[in-house]
Parts: sequence; C-alpha cells; structure tokens
Amino acid sequence: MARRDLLKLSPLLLAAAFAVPSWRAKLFGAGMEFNDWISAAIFRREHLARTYSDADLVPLDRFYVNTYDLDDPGIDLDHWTLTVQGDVKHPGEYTLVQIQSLSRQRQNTKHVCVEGWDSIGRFGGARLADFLQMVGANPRARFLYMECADDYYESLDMATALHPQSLLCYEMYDQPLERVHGAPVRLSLPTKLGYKSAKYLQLLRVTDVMPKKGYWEDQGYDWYAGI
Amino acid sequence: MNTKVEAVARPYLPARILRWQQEKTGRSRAAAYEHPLAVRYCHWLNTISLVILAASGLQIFMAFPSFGPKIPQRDFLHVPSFLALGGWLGGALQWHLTFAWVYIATGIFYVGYQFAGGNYRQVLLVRCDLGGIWPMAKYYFFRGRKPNAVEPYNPLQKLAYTSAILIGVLSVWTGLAIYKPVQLSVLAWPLGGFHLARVWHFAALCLFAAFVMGHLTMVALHGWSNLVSMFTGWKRDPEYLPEESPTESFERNSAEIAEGVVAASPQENPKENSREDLDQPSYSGRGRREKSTPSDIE
Repeated sequence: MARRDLLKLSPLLLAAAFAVPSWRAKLFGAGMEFNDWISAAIFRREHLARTYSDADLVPLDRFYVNTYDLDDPGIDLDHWTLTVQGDVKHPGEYTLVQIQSLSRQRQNTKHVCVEGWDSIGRFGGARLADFLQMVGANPRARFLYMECADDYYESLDMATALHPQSLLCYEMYDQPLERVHGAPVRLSLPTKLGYKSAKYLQLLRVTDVMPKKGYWEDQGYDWYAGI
Repeated sequence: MNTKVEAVARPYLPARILRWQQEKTGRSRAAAYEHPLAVRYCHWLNTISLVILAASGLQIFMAFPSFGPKIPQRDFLHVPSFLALGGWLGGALQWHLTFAWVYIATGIFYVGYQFAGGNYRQVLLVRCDLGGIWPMAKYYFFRGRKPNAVEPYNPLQKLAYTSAILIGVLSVWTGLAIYKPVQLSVLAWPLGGFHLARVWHFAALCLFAAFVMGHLTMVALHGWSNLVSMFTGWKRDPEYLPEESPTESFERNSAEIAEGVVAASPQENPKENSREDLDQPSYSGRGRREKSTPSDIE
C-alpha cells in the first residue's frame, strides 16, 4: 500500500485502534498525559483564582458534601496529628495547634467539581506553602502524597502545593471544620478540581515518587486536574 | 436578478476540471476536483472526533445534568444512555479530553490549509453571497425556481459551512473556558462566566446537531456523486459547469475515470504513450493549474 493510502486510511486506523481495549488504554494514557502536560504548562504560580464577596457565598448548609464512602471516618479530634514524612528536614507528628500557629488565611473561593457544578465557599487555614516551610520540605521535590482517615489518598504537584491560595484548611465559614467537610484538616485548592482537595488528612509525604496517584485518578480521572 | 449577476461575476471554480466525451453516447461529461486531499482528510477525521466528543460530552453532562446550583439540583434533561460514550464520568472524560486535541489540531490545520491555498473561497460566505441565500432557501421549501449554480457551493451551502466553522470555534472556546476556569478565566468572561460557558458549550452541541441533520439530509437529497466527492475529491458532472464542447476532445468512458486511468502519467503507463497528445485533459477555472495525478482521482 502506498504511503498516501495509509495516510488516507489513518482516521479509520485511529478509530480501529480505539476499538481494541488494550490499545485504547494506552492511547488514553497518552491522551491524559498530554492533558497533564498542557495543564502544568499553563499553570501560573502567581495567578490567583478569583475571590468572591461574602454575598456570593453558598450558605454552609447548602455546600454540597461529596461523599465517597463515609461521611465521617470517626477521627478522635482531640488526639489527631498529621504525620509528615519523606523529603523533609523535620519529619514527625504535627498537631492542629502547630498548624494553627501559622498565619491564618481566609478566602472566598470557588470549589469546582469535575461533575460540572461549583460552589463558592469560605475556607480558612494555613498556607500549605507555610506548613511545608515549617517542616523543612525540599521545595525541589516533585510531589506531595497524602493519605486520609477514610482510605482516600491523593497526590499533588509541588508547584500547586506552593501556590499562595493552596490551604491546609481547618475552617469553613470561620468555624472549625465540620466532620462532614473533613475535620479536622483538609486541603482547599482553588486551582484544582474538587477531588484533589482531600479531606480527613492523616499523612503527608514529600516525595519524588508517588506510590499511587489518587483514589479517583487510579480509576481514570485526570491526575493533574488543574483548572 | 442583480444578485445573481454579482455572484456570477467572480465564481471560484476548482483548480482542476476534466472534460471528456462519453464513448457510447457521445455525451460530454465533466468532473471537477472539488475537495483536495487535506480537506477530505480533515472532514472524515473531524467526523470521527465530533461523534466521539458529542457522545462523551453527553456522558459528562449526565454527571450533573443541570445548569443551576448543586443544591437544590434541578435536572435539565435526561440523556438516554445509548447516546452516551465512556460508561462513567471518568471514562467519558478520557474520550473527551483526548479527542478534544485531535479536534482542535484538525481545526487549526483545516483553517490554515484553506487560507494558505486560497481554497477558502469555495466555502467562505462573503457579502456578495448574501443575496443568494434567500432564493436558495425558498427553492428548498418549494417556493421558487432553482437559482443557477455557478460555483461548487451555493450561497446557502456557504452559509451552512461557514456557520459550522464558527460553531467549531465556539465549541473550542467554550470548552477551554470550562476546562480551565482559573488559568483561562479571560475566556469565560465574555461568555458571562463559568456557568454560562457550560450553557454555551451545550448550545454548540445543539447547533452542531442541527447542522449535521441538515447536512445529512442534503447529502441524501443530492445523491451519490456528492457523497463520493468527499472520498475521491472529484465531483461528476457538476451542475455549475455549463456543457461545452471540449477544447481538446478525448474519449473516455466513465468507468475509466473511476479507476483513475484518465490522467495516469505516461511513465507509469507505457501503453498510454501513443495517445499522450489525446490524454491531456482540458483545464479551466481560475485556480492553480496542476496536472492531476492518478491518486487524485482514484
């Protein structure tokens, strides 16, 4: 067959390749990697997500709770600590008081769900960047890997972790985080899709190698998930 | 009447036009190379992308089939599952976000090709076409005589195809606005924000559905040679070519055209050598004149 004929048939070949499950998985892998590459390339460290006035807030009782399997993994809030490990100078257990000693940020930002809805909420907490500085994280490490009390897990690129609006969130609407929203500490990442903002944080690892990508990502969601 | 004269004033005809006389009947026949390979390639690649994007888009929409708030959620419509592709939101997003780039690349290549080669004049609706839209529409609704065809596309077709390109631009623009509402927030701003960008993205789907239904109806009405031309590039006996006696007569029957023998180069086809002088097709039209190659008319 002439090369020209192959060229002409390539749309059909492309369609056929997607019909074979094992090839499809590879092609989607490449497609999603391309999306992650584009998303990381257009991410601007200094560009802030829009913040909103208090009048734009969704009332707390109408802030949707996306349950994954549990509303409440039953964390003992009085004895909760965040385990920090990996490429950090001061690994160990960090208490809520230590996190709250960092300067508190409060911001009205949009929580955008991959499903297509969004809610403007008021989130308060420490900058993730400040916390990483406190624990002496290597800023040149590539990823943050998080595990949660409800078996959820997530990972995050370092550039987004250091973004000034990325919060280690312990407040919503100026009140301590409710259990359904991930008490005592969750992430709030206005530059990512909602599933990146893991609740019920228990473990944070600074690393160059992700053991797993994330609860939803390992089922097919986009890893970078930048918006 | 005036508008028709204006339209006749500057018809854009395909670069390559073949004329020949049918051996048995003596009828004069013609074929015009309406669709260059690049255009045909983009058309069919885009057909695949568009079907996949529409079906996976519906699956994505099913995850939150509303344009309002999450609480209380009021579903806008129920998408029948046979129209959806991907099985679930994550699967649909893989289809959608992979083929979105195929679609965008095809679109950029197509527009670049059309403008670089001047072929856009076959498709693009311009001011002097405007007067011809209504008579053509009236004809389709049995309310008038059929206007004379002077170009591959009549003004109504140009309107449809130009609109399709604009709907394509709308779909990419609104899609990017939904994809990156923070990093590309400037895109959502003229659309009225993230929520309305979703509405506009859905509107682009509806407009495409309307276009495709009209497009398929017209292809069905206008017959086989029309459909074939998007595979081979060649349109047989196009209406807009007035019957002329060929300047250089050469005998061909229709089967040979289909088999791509007509303009086979003498080097590849030694037995044609003796008739070389007869094998030169007559060219007309304003475009670049080039010799047809066998693969162009296969």
